[in-house]
Amino acid sequence: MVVQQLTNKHTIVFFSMKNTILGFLFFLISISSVLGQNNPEISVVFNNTPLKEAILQVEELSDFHFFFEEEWLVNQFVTERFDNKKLFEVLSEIFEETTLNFYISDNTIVLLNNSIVYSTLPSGIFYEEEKVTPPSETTNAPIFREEFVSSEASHKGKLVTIGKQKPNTENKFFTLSGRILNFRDNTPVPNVAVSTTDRSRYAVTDENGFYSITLPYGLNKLETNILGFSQLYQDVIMYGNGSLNLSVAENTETLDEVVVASKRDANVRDAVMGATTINIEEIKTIPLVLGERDILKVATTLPGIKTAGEGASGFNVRGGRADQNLILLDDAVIYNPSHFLGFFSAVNPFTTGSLEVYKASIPAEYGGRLSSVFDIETKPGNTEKVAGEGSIGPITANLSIEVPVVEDKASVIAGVRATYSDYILKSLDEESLKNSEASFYDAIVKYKHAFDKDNTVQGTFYYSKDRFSITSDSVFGYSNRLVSLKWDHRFSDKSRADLIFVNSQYEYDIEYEADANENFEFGYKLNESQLKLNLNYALSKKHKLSYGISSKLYGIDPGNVSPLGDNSSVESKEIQRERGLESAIYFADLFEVSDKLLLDLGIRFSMFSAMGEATQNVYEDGKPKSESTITEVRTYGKNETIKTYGGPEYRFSARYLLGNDYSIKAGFNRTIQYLHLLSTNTTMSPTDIWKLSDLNIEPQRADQYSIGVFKNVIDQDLEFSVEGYYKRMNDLLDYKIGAQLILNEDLETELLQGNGKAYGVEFLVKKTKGRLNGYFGYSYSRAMIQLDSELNEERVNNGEYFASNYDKPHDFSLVTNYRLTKRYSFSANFTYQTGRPVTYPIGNFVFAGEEQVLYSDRNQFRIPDYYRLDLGFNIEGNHKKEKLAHSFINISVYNVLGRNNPYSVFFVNEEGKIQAYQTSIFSIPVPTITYNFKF
Amino acid sequence: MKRIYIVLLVVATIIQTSCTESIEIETIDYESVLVVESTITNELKPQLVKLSRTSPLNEPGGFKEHNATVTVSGSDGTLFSFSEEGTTGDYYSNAAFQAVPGVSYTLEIDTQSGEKYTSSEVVIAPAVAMDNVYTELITKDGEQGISVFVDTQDPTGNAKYFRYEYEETYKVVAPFPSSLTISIENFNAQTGTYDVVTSPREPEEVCYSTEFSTGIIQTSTTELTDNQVLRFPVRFIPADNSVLRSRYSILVKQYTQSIEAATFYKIINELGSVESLLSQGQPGYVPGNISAVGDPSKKVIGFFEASSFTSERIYFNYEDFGLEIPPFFIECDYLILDYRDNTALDNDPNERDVLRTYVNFFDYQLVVSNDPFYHIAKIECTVCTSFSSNVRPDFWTD
Repeated sequence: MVVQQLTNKHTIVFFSMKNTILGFLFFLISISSVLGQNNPEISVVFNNTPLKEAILQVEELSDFHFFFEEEWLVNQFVTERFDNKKLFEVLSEIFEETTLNFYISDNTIVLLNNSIVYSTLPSGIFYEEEKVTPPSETTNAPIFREEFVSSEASHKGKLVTIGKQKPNTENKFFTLSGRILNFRDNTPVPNVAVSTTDRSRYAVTDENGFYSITLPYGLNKLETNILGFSQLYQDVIMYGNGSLNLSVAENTETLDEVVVASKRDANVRDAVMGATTINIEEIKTIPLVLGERDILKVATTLPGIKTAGEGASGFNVRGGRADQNLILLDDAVIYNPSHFLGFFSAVNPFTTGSLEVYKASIPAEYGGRLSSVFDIETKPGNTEKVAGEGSIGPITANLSIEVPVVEDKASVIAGVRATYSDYILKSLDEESLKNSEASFYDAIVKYKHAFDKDNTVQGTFYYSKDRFSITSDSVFGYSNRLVSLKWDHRFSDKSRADLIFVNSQYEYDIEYEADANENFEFGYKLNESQLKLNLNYALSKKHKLSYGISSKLYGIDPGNVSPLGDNSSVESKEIQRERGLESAIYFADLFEVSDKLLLDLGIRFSMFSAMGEATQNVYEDGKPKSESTITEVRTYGKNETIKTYGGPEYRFSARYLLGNDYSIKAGFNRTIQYLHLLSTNTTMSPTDIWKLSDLNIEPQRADQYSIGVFKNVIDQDLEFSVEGYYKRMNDLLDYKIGAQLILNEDLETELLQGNGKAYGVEFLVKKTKGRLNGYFGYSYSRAMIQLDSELNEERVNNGEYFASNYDKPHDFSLVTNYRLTKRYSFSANFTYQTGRPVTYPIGNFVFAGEEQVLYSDRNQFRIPDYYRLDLGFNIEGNHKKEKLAHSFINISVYNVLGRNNPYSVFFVNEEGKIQAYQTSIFSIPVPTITYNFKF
Repeated sequence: MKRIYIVLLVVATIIQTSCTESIEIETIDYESVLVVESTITNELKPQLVKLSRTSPLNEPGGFKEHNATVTVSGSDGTLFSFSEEGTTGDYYSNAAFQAVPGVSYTLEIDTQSGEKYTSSEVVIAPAVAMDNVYTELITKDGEQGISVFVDTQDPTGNAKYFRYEYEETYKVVAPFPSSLTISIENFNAQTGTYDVVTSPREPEEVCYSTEFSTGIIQTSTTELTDNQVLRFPVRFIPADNSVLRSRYSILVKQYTQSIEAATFYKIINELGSVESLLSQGQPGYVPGNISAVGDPSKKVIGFFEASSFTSERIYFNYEDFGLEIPPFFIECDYLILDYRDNTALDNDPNERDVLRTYVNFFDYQLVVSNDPFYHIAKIECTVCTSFSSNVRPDFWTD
């Protein structure tokens, strides 16, 4: 091909260079807006005028400049008469019978030959040696016409025929190649997936937007897929080899700042099951309690993730206990991800990028918890300009700032959040809370530096602190501290490595100051450090490997109590430190067996050693563990191994495509947990104790089988999924009746280990876009535990399976947002959950001369059901570009129905009568207004 | 700035967001559960089985179970029937017997309503004598008092679990013994005059009260402590406790327990104890070793155990510890009233009226009669049999 000057007025560069990967069409045009320019009326007569002449005439008559490739116009003629017709109509008619298309930007009109059929393959990039076949004669092939900017998610092109139908062609397959350009500016779009809708044929565009796909003879339905662009559907009839260029339009959503239309279709296409991504931007409009945007709270509205109650920290994922979730903030474990007993999450929403939740199919790189992984990633700072975000709500103020350090390479993001005052507590109509105090803050700093395209280093520091009193005589305080360092190195296009070091510390203390001689101070501390090497290797198109090793060292000071004040007669006591080393090696292969079948095969081998120095009790076999059945006390030296546990953890999942947007997945997931949370409260509370497995405490193990069907309806932006799971758990920790956990030197004497089973069906419908968007989730699930033993004392509820503390069979949630205009939107949440089980006192009796209370079977009864409706109204500030700051105001009413949802149920003996009481946290509608700004 | 004001305004309107309210708990059908408490021992005596019922939460517990058929059978073929004792409602064996080693015993209960319960087989835990029962003056929780300690050991290591009960007997000496009765007669309501009639009687000055321990007192040995119980405090008596005012005696009873029995008692005890900030127990139904025949899921509370029993009695007086004399059980106001004083206008009570009122309505007794002066005091301070017994126990030694 040659570079031609097409008109005498304009220099147009149409060039195509052989043997370069630069491609062959390169428009140098600038685009600002497609709409709203003049559309003059012209009058012109063509009588068998060559097309090129016709275009030049039109150009003369208008202010527009035309850009085109002369070759396209050869042998085409126009016969038409136009009297004061609009320019665009004229052009439409001129091109009606051709393969040409046009589009307008500013005062230029670009001709495109999107769907022209010509057998000359694009300048030898892919098929240099391909035989050149004569151009096809089908000049009247239907034009593939791009529509102008449309907010719809997908476009459907008209049918295109490639090649000429020959009566007896030998070939069963033909090659279709071409280029995919951005509709907006005609830049090539790399990494677009071009495939048949049934996925049997598949290609991806290269850096210059070129693709080549082999298609069978006859009708093929093609589609394109790429993040951030509308999906394009194109039907093609293949009669020979040919070329087809396509333009894809960006999603309008991507015009909004930061919104990444997260993995479109990931729900259908990925092999992993039970995975959810929550993007912080998506939750902006969800009504909030007390004005806090809370990514973890939003997670609990998804099926399969529950909390024990309002204001309860900890999550129960698919029938798992609250300690079975690995909550990671930039790869470091955050032990208590909540503030003030769970009312707020401790993760700053402004610095958070995204949250990935794995309920099943936990990637092999993660381990150490049975039920789930919550992977929270802090967003990298802006490397171009200073940016920030802030909010002022009734409880907290929050500010985050992003500062570029080295332009385009390094930046820092920092966020700080704090409460103003203790007034929430003061306003609570709960006598025991009236004189309380509560304060918290958290701060995070992340630095990311891309030294070159192969090396990136990032570091995160996070600290959160809470201090509050629940009764007038005690003050609780707890803190999380995390440090995370990561070096990301790229060896080649195929091979990458991450080296990660993290350290987490969780501490809490209690000060009790009431009775002068019983005042005490209690402290607890957990510290862990992990080193992890993560490698990725794209072995082939079919095999993508990831593997690595990790090792984690734990040190726990499980409690010490000391007298507070001179008068205190409390004796100092300290429980010996626990140490352990948890290591793992893992390997996973993402194996694309065929276009339809994708396997994700992972195995993790984990090992845990409880280490000295320590003393451990050995108990008599077949007797309940108690102080009196200790047969031996073993002493271990520093770093001496007390006991080693371990085993393989299988992480298998498979996806089979039943159609383009329809798949079935199945998975098997085994997990082992060596660290356990001990809590006799129904809900997770800050005074709970994390305990390592040791000589007497086995690790918990779980096997989960899951299966699911996923279906997307592209046109309506709907996603459907139904997932079922069955989980078997062994050595779950529970407690003997009457167990005392804190400051117990022989903790194992209070513990029971039993089997658990959980099963459920989760149903989710999501409408991802449009004026009305949101999701509806329902799950029916059970979580049961069995504590059976030969010994009466170690048997609970007759050794039969009983409902666990967080068994809530019906769970329904609806989260919706309706956009009135670009600036105003309404949102609503509705949640309904079966009340959780409790153990009630059911009678009195006299034993050994004393009155005692008879309790029901463990968790025999349930507290009343939980339901709540929240409404919100969101006002976006105007979208003027040159404003100092963008504002966003959220007005919401929490618990509109004023439902008194029970937070806790307790019993009080009043004049010889036992009366049940429930505490509700927010028993009336709570209005909140929050002002957010962004600059 | 304006926006901040708006925020603050809204903040100010948030009031009363939380509440506590009573709720109707999910209909919990009151289930009358049988409560069994029985320890048969190696002491030859009529053995005891206590049967009662749980009561609804809003009523006091401890209703006796009447008209049950209670038997204990031994693996050696022996069978002992029990009968309900009229006053206490407890069941005693018709014949005295003792549990012997090597024989396993089973308790069977047929209730009036036709329910059948049986215990698992129990054998007597090995006998261990108490080495020593002794007292010491100690300070506990900032309070001075006398603690009764037990030392015990089983060199064989077979007996590890011990439960204690005690029976304390103390002498009560009335501070103002009365040798006269007093009564008011011929009262004239108009004039306020009356006759005081006195007559001599045998003064009840010295009595003996016996009280039984309540609650669960237990301990255990471990191999680590050489199977010893050392200085186990069975009873702590604060120095100002009136039981120490005169001579005091305590009978400490030791029952050896099986691990199952000990565990049951321990859990019951823990569930009943007051919770503190750092200790919140897991509540639940505590199964014992009694079950309903044919219906293992039916709730029944209690334990049947066979236990070796030993006891030891000690005596002591407060003077032995150099303590001050503790106060009497109640405050004894000693009144001297003048019958002639019949007016309150002299800024002094109408003593004639006071005398009549206190004697007739508050049961004050006459200590000294010296007409027109009458010395009166509360009945507890004058007649010890008003709350104690004048029967000197057989075992009592002064």
